[in-house]
Amino acid sequence: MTTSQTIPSELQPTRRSMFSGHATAVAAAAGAALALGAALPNRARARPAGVNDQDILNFALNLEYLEGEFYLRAVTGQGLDQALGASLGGQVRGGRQVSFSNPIHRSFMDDVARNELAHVNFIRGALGGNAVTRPTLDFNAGFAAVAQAAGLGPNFDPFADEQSFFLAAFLFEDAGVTAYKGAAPLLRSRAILQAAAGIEAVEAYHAGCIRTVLYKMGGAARQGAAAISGVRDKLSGGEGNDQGLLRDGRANIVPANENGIAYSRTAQHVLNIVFANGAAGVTNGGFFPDGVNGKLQST
Amino acid sequence: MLSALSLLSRRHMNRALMATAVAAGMAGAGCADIVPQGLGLALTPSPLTDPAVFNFALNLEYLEAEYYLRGTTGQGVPDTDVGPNPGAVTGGRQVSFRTPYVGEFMAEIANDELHHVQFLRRTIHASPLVELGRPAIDLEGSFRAAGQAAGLGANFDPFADENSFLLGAFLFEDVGVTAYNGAAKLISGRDSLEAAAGILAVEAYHGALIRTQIAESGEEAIKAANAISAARDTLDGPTPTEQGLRLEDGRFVIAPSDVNGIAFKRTVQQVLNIVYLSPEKHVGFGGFFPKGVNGVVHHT
Repeated sequence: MTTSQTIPSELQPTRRSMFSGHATAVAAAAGAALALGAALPNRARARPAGVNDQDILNFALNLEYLEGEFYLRAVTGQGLDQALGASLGGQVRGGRQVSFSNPIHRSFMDDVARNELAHVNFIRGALGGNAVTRPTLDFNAGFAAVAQAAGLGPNFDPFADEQSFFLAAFLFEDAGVTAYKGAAPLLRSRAILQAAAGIEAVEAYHAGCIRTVLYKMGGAARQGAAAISGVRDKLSGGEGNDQGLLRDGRANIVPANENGIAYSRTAQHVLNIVFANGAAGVTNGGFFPDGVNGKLQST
Repeated sequence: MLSALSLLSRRHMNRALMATAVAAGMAGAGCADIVPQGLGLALTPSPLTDPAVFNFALNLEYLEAEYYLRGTTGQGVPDTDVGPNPGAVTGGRQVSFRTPYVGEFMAEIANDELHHVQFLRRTIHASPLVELGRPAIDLEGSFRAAGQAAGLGANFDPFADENSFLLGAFLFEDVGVTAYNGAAKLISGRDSLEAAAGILAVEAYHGALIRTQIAESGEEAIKAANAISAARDTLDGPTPTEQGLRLEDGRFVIAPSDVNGIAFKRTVQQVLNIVYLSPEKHVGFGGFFPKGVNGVVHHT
């Protein structure tokens, strides 16, 4: 144990105490794990066979490309290729600079754009040569499909104004939270898990901001959010894993279950949302006309 | 002098490394994970069982639940949920919210925090740990001291009005996020991890709600939030753990995070530095917990 020289000798465990402590600690930990598992209402799902941490990170990278392009284009008018000075892959259709009416809201969305850009950079760096390229993205087709399903009208344009943009952002952020939360227990590397937890928290900060702003906008913004939440839930299995901005007539900023715990989604259900298609076995559509890259690519 | 926790972690390292190796061997079976470049193989053995981590978290949830429940209803955590030999709660009273929806926001958070207390209690009941009950909590002298440390004057009272209550909330929420984020690597069970990740997300939703609302509550509130963030950063030592609400260049920050867009994390000791309002090591009580938190880990 190379660290032992830094421990004052009087505090070092003797060989005997380490060994005798070992068996009881292991037994106690095993008992605790069993008991705890039984107490937890939402059991984590099993990791799909043949899927490793790298596949999960690459799946997340597809979503980060989508979010990165969405926010960067809205805030700066330019996408990831310009921000990073490199061509990251497939074509991006739609998306343009939004004219925000509230400078504080614009500043928050600028922070979100920076975070999503950082996520793309970080995950690409972590995966190195194994990182998937950006798939073809289509904001026009994706939002048209969701707007139709949510009854937002045939002319919904997410980049038209501040309220439209926040509604569009609302579609992505809660889904991002549920995606990372669902993926966290499947990860084996503690380092990757730590990063995923930290990204999940950042997505939840984004979602909390977007939900708060939409709630305060009132009327049409709240109704639009409720409709989009309903569409997300319906597309992803109808398990009630989604909540709008009102519950029992009162503000509902945090989508959470009866334990105050956020929901999870499987990769398949996340794909149902971004493909705007609730069927199983689908491999493209909506925001990803040519599908996503990597091993996890089918609903 | 090593802290108790780091010593504990070193003592258990061999055991944890062995357990990790065994688990990896069993799960591997010819399809070992590829560890992406740049992250390396990090084995961070946990010195604590999952129930012990949840027990630590329960102390923080009691603090938050008492704060929000008292602020929104005038009543604290119900007697049925405070556990055996509960400590006393000093201070806290119903706030008169001038903006109805802000009152609703705070009531929603109060509800979430009470649910966290109830969930963690059930989790601990189902484990070999003995429940220790709510620790003694001070919502009065603690805030005066915190307010003074942040330069908000000697009489900071978060229950005085809406903006003050939002600032008191701001003091807690980002800390909750960093605490759960720091705990992620201490948790070994998959179900426990999923639950902790879900509470982490909820605390971040709360954190964003508070940040968004304070940003739109005027210059004085924004400056006070920045001062509280700076005070937290001073209390918990030199590692980067904070971004204020508004940066020097005028940009607002919704998600306090590092250059990779990853939320900051705090160790148990750093969390205690903040809630004990002491930057020192080996401190066992103070600030919001006048008799310390309950459980195996209670020193900075």
